[in-house]
Amino acid sequence: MQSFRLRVEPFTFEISTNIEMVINNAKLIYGQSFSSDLSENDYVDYRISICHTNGIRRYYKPQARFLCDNREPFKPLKASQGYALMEWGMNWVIAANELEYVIVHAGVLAKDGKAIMLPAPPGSGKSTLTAHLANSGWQLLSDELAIIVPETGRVLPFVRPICLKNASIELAKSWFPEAVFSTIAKDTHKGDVIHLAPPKCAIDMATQSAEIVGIVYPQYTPNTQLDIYQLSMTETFMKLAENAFNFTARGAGSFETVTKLIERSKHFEIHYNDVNEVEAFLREDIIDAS
Amino acid sequence: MLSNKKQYKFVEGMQMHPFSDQSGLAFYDPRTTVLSSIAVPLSTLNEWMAQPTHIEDEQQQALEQLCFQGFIYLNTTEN
Repeated sequence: MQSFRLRVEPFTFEISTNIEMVINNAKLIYGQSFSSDLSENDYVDYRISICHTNGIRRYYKPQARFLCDNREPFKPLKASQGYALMEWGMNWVIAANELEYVIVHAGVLAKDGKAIMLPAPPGSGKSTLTAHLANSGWQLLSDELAIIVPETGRVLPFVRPICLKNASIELAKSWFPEAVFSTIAKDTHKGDVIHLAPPKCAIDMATQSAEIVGIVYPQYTPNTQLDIYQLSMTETFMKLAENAFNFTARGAGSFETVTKLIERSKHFEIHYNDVNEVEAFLREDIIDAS
Repeated sequence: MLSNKKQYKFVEGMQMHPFSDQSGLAFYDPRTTVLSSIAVPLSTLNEWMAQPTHIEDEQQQALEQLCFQGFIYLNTTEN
């Protein structure tokens, strides 16, 4: 069993594993945030293990188990999907435990200190769009979790790799040939999955929170021009509540945070095919107009 | 001859936010953690709640839904 730490502002994870590909991918993807130094003096927020299942099965059908504080929220996956399991597990740990913040399932990108949240269900193209923007001059704050501070309404960076699926994998590799990618986890419940390392500039800005000025629900639609629909505040509220992980667990404070956020931001649903059109819309109609 | 007057009232303890764009209201009940919304401004909702027998079926259904979710209740008084 080997252990390492990942310092991902604002949290530190300690991962223990006996699966070599987990260590190799973490080292590759997290770069300077990866550390083998397990100093007792540094505070660790979460201790996680990604380990082979026990028994004879390990030899003919190896699997990986995710555990945090003796809890196992997911069924074991194939050992070859161990790194993806670690990433999904890290998301779960934060969403399930960080009740200090309002947490929304959303990509978050910023320009000039102004952030746009992209809440969306799987298959909407959120991560592909996030990857494009993060490599086109936007500050990546998160691909999966918008961590909102209730007192200020600002969103904290939680800079982690971007999870790309299926056709997006080759697309991203063609867009960013110099970027760092994990190995592919094949045939997961989401299809084939790869993780794209965040740009270095995003990690360098990982302590800079941003003010949320826009909430945009993206939907990739082939063979269409950019369609933009302005959403009312009431529509935005219900859609945002659907994507909030800990809304009910946090109670009344979340309600106030979310309604205030909606009152001071712009809200749209977009159907898109061309990420460059989306980039221009986000920049001109939301960032520059705020 | 006495007649009954029916009116809906807001349940105490629940949270409500009327959005400034007049698109509607958001509701949250911290006791049950139920979330809801209605796509009419507060002034319209107040009118519906004051005269629930004089509104259209669809509007009555919207009130019944909020009632079922525990945000409003039907109050009957004798005139």
